[in-house]
Amino acid sequence: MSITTEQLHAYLDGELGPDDVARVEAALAADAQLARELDAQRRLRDELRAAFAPVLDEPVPARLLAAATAAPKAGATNVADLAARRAVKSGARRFWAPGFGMAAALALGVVLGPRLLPADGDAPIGADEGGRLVAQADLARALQASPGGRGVGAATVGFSFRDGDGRYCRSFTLRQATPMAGVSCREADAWRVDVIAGADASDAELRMASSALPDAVLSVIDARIDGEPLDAEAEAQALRDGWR
Amino acid sequence: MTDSTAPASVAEAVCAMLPRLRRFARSLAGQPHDADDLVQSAIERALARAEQWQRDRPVEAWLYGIVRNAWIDEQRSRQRQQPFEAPAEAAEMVGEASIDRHVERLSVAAAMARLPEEQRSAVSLVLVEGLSYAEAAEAMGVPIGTLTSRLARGRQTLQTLLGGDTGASR
Repeated sequence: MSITTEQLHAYLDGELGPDDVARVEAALAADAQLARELDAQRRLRDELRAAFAPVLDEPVPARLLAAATAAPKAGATNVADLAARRAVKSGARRFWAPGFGMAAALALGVVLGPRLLPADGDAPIGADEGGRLVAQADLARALQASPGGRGVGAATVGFSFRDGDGRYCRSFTLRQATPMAGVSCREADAWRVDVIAGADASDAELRMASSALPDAVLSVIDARIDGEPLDAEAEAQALRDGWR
Repeated sequence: MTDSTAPASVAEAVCAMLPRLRRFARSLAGQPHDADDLVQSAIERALARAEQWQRDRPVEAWLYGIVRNAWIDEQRSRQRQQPFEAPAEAAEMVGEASIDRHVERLSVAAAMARLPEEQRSAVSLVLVEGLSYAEAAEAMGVPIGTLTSRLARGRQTLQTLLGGDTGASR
């Protein structure tokens, strides 16, 4: 019984049912030429995978991250997002309208890891040994020492609040070729970047009113904030205390 | 990032798939910048069409399909010819390059570039991205039989271009 080329491929690709697998394996045992062909196909597959594998380890360009977390264009309905629908129903909107990108911004925080950011000590965001995002360089300096509305270099801090776990958190924006915005919370002497999303070109003014932040970021703040944002006095005190 | 729960939104799926979509785009477009342009265009389309994704269909296949269709549209609008050299020609080139007794094989990327797009996509989706035949067929919008024949032809051409040593084709 002869095995066709496509059957051989399907066997290698794991697409055959158990009966056909048995037939192919019997044929392979009996036919050295067939076995050589299978080997050659396996080598080809391995070569293809090896050739393209490095792409997975490249840093994802910021513009793609921004595009993936962008709010939908005006006029588009965005009811595909369950989280947004639930939030609208609960009525607990402090900042505003459906956070379309909430799940996206959080997923981005998981997706971004050491292999997605270049190992660059001057970059505002890096990854710790556990692969979690941390603020560094100018962003870390701004988070630690700048009052709301001020910053260091391209990093500007927005407002501050405490989350449900009692951590101090601050919103921030990054003025760079692809503007980004996010939330960083202080935990064990480091400012973790929990949320990062692309900011609209119109946010380039970087006003520190909440309206300057992308929906994705506002939705996450909304879900996590404990009480109200810190007022000027509370923020000044937290700055003096080093955010402990 | 493997995820056993369905994504709450298309945006979340896009984020999780970014590295893989970039890899697939690289197999279509070759140059990193062109490939990333392609991914960006696909992301915008996917988000704009988020409502069209039905939750019981695999979102990966849907996203890969959007990348591929964006590439096809891009090619049409630029009216580029896909370079495709018949296997015999390519084999000759490999032979000539071995003058100094060093067989200079085509790189995998160069060999892929010589496949017609539909064969290249089939090879990339199944062998590199690891989609099942059913998922790859869904991504390409064709019946499974069409997918497997494109895959078989692509593999055969690649074996020839890359100097596979099985001898006669079946």
